[in-house]
Amino acid sequence: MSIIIGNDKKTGSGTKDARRHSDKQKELIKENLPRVITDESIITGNKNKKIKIPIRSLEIPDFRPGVRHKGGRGDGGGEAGFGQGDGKKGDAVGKRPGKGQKPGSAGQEAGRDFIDAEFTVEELIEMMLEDLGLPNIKEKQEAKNILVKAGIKITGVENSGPWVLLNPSKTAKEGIKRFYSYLEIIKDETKKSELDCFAALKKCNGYLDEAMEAIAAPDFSHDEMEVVPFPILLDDDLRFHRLEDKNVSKSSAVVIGILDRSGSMDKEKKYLAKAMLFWQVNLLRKIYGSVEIRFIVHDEEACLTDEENFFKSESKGGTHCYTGLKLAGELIDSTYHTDQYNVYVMYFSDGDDFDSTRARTLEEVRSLVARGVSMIGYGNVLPDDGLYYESHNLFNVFASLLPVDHSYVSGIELLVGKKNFPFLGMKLRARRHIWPALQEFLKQSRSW
Amino acid sequence: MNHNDIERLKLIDKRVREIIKENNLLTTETDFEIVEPERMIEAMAYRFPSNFSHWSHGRDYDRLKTIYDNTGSGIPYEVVWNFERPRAYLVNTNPFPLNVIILPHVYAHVDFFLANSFLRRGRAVADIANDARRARVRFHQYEQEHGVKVIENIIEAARTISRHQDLDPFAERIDEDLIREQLIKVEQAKVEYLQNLNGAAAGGFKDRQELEIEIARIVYGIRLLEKKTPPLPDYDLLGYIIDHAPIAKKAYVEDILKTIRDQDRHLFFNGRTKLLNEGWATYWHVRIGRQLFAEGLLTPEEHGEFITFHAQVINADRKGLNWYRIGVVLFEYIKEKYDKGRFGDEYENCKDPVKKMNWDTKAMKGTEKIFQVHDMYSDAMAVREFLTDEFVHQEQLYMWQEATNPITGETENVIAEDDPAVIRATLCKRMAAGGLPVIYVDDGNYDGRGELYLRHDSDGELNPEYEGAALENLFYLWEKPVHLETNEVLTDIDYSPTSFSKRIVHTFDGKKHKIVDA
Repeated sequence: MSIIIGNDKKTGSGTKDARRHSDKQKELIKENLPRVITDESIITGNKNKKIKIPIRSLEIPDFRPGVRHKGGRGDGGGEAGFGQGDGKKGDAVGKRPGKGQKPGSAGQEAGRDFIDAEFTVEELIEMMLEDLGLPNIKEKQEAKNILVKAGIKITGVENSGPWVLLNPSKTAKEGIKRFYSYLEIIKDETKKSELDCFAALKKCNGYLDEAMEAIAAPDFSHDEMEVVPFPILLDDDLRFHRLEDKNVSKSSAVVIGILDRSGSMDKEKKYLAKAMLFWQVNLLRKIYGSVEIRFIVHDEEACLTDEENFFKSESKGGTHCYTGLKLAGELIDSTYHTDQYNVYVMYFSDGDDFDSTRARTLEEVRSLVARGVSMIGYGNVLPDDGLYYESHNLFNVFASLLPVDHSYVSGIELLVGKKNFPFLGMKLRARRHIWPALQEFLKQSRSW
Repeated sequence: MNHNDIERLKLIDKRVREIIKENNLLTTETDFEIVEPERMIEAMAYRFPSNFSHWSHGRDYDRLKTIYDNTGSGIPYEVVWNFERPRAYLVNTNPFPLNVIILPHVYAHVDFFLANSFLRRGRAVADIANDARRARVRFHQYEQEHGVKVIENIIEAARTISRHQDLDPFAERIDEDLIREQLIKVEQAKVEYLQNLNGAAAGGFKDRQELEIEIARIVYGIRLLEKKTPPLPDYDLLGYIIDHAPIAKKAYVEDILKTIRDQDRHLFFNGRTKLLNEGWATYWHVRIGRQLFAEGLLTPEEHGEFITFHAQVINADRKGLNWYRIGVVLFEYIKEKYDKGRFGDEYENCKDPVKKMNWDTKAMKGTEKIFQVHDMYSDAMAVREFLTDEFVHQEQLYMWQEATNPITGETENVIAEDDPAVIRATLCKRMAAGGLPVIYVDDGNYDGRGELYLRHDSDGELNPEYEGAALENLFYLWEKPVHLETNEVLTDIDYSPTSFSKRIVHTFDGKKHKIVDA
């Protein structure tokens, strides 16, 4: 029998297997991404903060007693157990700790082990990309690389140039080379000692012919003690810095978000737009080095705004969809040339455009394509209750009058532009459509 | 703990062992290891000092560690394993007086391991400590050869059913051909007997024809028996899988399944004796602690702390049963009962409460009785016999249920039952099968297609969420459709006055789930 101090060597297996567990949880989250990404706390929250996602602690399933139908005859109603202490039948001995009852969840989640897994938006994005099978989007994405003039730079050496660009060290090196070659020539020709040859060359300031003559003279004498090389420069030996314009290639993008804030755009429609735009911008941030975002709101007129007011902006009546697109075009012309930016125009509307200006809306779309934008995205945010003006809804107008293919993918209606027409229309009827829409957005953004 | 503490603890340890022996408790070579909290957490999560790698162990480690890091509590002060050479961990952050409590506590556990018939059996299942340690290395190798995912899945599937074991914990698994042979022999003997009858009437048959029908019926039964697997209901679900599933023919799969089966069989016995084991250890640590103080080995301050820790350990729980408390009080109760001769017909039949209250025949059988209980009983046996009405009232035991307060709308735990008979019966039932529903393999060749048919015949419904996933895991091992026959409480619509529930069959065929009436 013995009492020993356990060796402090930790096996580390706990930590290792804890990682296995969290990896498994991550898989679980991935499965739930379509729901998670529309969570308001993410979209409206502080971007840098960690997002808490309640997930069920993983358990090994087994055959255990339970209740097949909640609230049914077999359901005794909530948790039950043994206890000990004062009290008679009917006395309360404690309360259920934690949050209040939510409809539909009453009693059901009790006793189940929920844990909050924390993720950053960045991590969620990575999971989304993994889930889409695009783990390394940066490499695959043929982002438009734009050359930017950033002054001039020295790129090498050349044999001629203005004196100000003389490269002294390179030139001196050439001069020393010439010194040694002259020294060898004199030695070969005259068969005199190296020191004599050096003295002659030095006396004649490096002129070869004169040195040969001098050394051949019968009265040649010198008091040099050792060979000290010096540069001998001819025009050929001068070396100059080569200069070039400095261009850096920079991949940058701008997202121009346009929101229809007309009277028919209610809170849920705006939320769909906001959630979609939030993830589009964050996904583009993964692709491009830098992403700028500009916000345009419109009703009968369009104006630039900032992010905060973009979603808050109050309804102002009528709808001229073209105004938002037109302002985006002007913004591109003035600030975001498509040869310098990958321009994404994301337009969100419930599609309730004025009949009289519909032609202008189409015209503005075509004009944006002509400007060379990377994509025009159109999110038709129209929950199910808005079916009645479906026929002249902007989505259907785009479907019939633009060069697009109309299709259904993973439960959402899509308009995908044909070759050289980078247009993507998505019908966002509910929050569950955000996920497939984003998948299409990522896929399509690479196909034109 | 510093060097002086350890030296002093060793000194106290010496005296504790003497006291243990003086009280006729059994001892054996036991290792005490003073460990870091992390090591203790690991031991809890892995169930043994070292065990194979799995995410579920990592989950428990993470959970315990998080609680410990945030609250500084949530880990046990000690743990002791029922190994061939018992091993105990003491956490190095324990204050000195706590470690002094732990010494006699652990020795009493060791005595319980050595004396109790259930735990002796549990220890004999396998060389569990070394097996678990070696399994770590082997399973790691399997992961390299077959992939982490595959090994993880096999472990998870095995754990899904590994607690469903033979109802007789002392039974050894018998080859089913042997069982079948025996059953057939019995049936053949019946046939022989009937064939040799001196006339049909001698066997109580109406006529020759009736006798022949009976013989034909038995012969047919024998033919069925020849093909039936399992010949008798098999409650050892994992054992059946190991014997019959093609996947278990792969050596590494068999090894994993057997390792997990052995571990759970070993732990099964701990689960059946938790109340008595903790009660016993608590019973002795408080006595020996008192004696150490009386002998001057503990200072009054240390003894004070000792008493405080003890009080925490046996604190009554409003929302659960603290086995330490119920256990120790139960032993005290049995001792007093038998010391005062409060047993037998005369006492039981006495109607005079005053006389009963003062009953004392000076029988002094208490010590003998508690040793008998500690030798032979499981928790369920002890509850059935000693959790008397008197005890339930004395300890104020009850059952609570969640209910909504009509005024505040809050969910409260309300005392729903305090009838000793109901409490005793419910507790016994829960203890008998470890709280698990009783499920057995009814047919391993269902419908002649090699499908697996399980039956859940005990009362109550199963949790449907877990049930589906459990069947999927079972399918993973069986690789053919699996069926589970269970109960479903009738809804209001199809409620009938004669029955409360109906039988349903839940099938998983590898792709989809189907639930139909049986």
